Amino acid sequence: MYRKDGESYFIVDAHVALWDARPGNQRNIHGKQFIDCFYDYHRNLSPESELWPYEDYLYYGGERLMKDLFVDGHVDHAIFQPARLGAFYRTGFGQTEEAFALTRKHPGKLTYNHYFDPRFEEAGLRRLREDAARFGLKGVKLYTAEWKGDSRGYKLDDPWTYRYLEACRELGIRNIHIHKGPTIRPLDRDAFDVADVDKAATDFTDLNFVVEHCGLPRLEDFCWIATQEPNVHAGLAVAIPFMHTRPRYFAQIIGELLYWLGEDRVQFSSDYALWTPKWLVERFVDFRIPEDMTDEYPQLTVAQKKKILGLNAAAMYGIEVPAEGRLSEAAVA
Amino acid sequence: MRAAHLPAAARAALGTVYDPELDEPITDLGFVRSLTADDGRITVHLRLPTSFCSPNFAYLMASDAKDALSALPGAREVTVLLDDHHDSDLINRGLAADAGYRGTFGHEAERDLEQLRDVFRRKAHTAAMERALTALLRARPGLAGERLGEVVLGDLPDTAATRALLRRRAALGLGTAPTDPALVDDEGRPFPPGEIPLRLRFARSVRISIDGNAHFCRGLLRTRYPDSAADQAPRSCDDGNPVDAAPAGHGRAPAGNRATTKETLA
Repeated sequence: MYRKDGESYFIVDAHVALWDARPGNQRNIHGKQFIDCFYDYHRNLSPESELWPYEDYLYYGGERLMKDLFVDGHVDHAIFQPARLGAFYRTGFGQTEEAFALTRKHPGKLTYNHYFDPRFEEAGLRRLREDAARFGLKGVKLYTAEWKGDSRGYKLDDPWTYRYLEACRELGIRNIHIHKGPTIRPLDRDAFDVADVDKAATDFTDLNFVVEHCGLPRLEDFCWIATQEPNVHAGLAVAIPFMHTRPRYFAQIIGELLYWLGEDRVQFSSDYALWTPKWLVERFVDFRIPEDMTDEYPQLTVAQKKKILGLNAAAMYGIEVPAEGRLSEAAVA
Repeated sequence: MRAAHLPAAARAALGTVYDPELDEPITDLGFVRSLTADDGRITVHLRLPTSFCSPNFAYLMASDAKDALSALPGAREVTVLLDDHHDSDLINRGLAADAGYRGTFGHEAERDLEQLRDVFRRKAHTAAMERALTALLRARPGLAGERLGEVVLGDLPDTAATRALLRRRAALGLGTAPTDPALVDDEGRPFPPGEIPLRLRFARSVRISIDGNAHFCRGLLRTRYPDSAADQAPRSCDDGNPVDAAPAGHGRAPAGNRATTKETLA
């Protein structure tokens, strides 16, 4: 629980990872390119005091994760959203066994979401059923630009994806986190387009679709579909660190999200270890829309911040919130 | 063309090559890493903010650069190389062989990239329209947002923002006559009056998104290649307004309290 100015904030970090990008796990040059790209994001958007050395960034392990999130980072509950990236890393990028073991070691602190890839067709469906039983899955993370053989991506409205989503529905996996990446077939079209999320959300109204980094770099397309689909949500990964480097831009992003989606469908995530949650939580609680922009974007309220920082994701995942962190009835009304 | 002029001509030619996604010349973005022009032989290295920038856009910029340079009268041999990208080998081979988009990407290419270009021409127009109309609302406080549908191009002051809008309209094949309505959809049709606040509001999201991406890409390029800072020109935003300037207040409505039609954006 993060406490400030007499208010208590229950923090759910809805997107964290335990990755291994060390050279020994890199399958090829793309493994290095991928982690270097992450590291540049980290260097570009972090305050100087929060920068990690490159070596630490390649692999940090479970103990450091627990410290960064729960000891230093104000986080009450965190959700693993692993990316497999099997074409780039030998044992995958997200470390399934290590993350799941950590989840079991710290009950109530961590939720493990896994991934699926519809291009594995029947075999992958069987695997999804086994994974759902083993991990007790409530959610999955889909990186739609995952490379597999000569395919460099899939869409949510592909027929095979629909079969997997039907299985999710049957298995009680209700939360589908989508991370759009830059390669997808065919290359004729915009890879970041979210029209496929729109279709899936229309056809699976009982599932939640959380679009990570709120559709960036296509914020506008994302807002447009989210306005029309009540089961589409925004994850703040990547967007929230702009508070530091470009607070006015962040004000626009959060202002647009609150305008188009409202305060119940936006959830905090640090994208750990892209960034660490401590400074993000502290600065978001302190964040104010600059005064000269409040004509356009209303000032954020404490209740909105509480919802975004934890209550929205807690509701989606059925995480119990202590009385201290709940909204008072007045705030709810 | 005299040999001494070729480097300058080559740089000018690269200035006509746009990043379609950010709607800016690749020279202003700092994407040109090096340029040599010697005895009719031009060699250009391009660099991008990450190894994982979209390969389709990367290819478009590189092949547009090669086309622009090859059209120069003094150019005998043009080599364009994309550095440090996950598809560098593929794209550089395709460029060297003049293999075209389909020849370069094989089974990953279906038809061509014209549809992709069109999507971003439309976004660039929408953003330019919002800039010009928001500037007008700021300049004429008495003008109600709901009446923007009556504004014609001739009502817009002769500013960089207006000229930029006219260029984007021409690129899309939309009319540029002074009597043409200014607030229009991608096909040049005016919106029904009841939709105007929502449409302008959406246009603003498009503008914020493109401007935001342009700044983020610039920053990432500087992180990746510190020496690129000197090559970057500030984003002009066409009207001289800083990107972060407060937009005029109109069109505010609580989320969920608004009727929208179910339609996809073309």
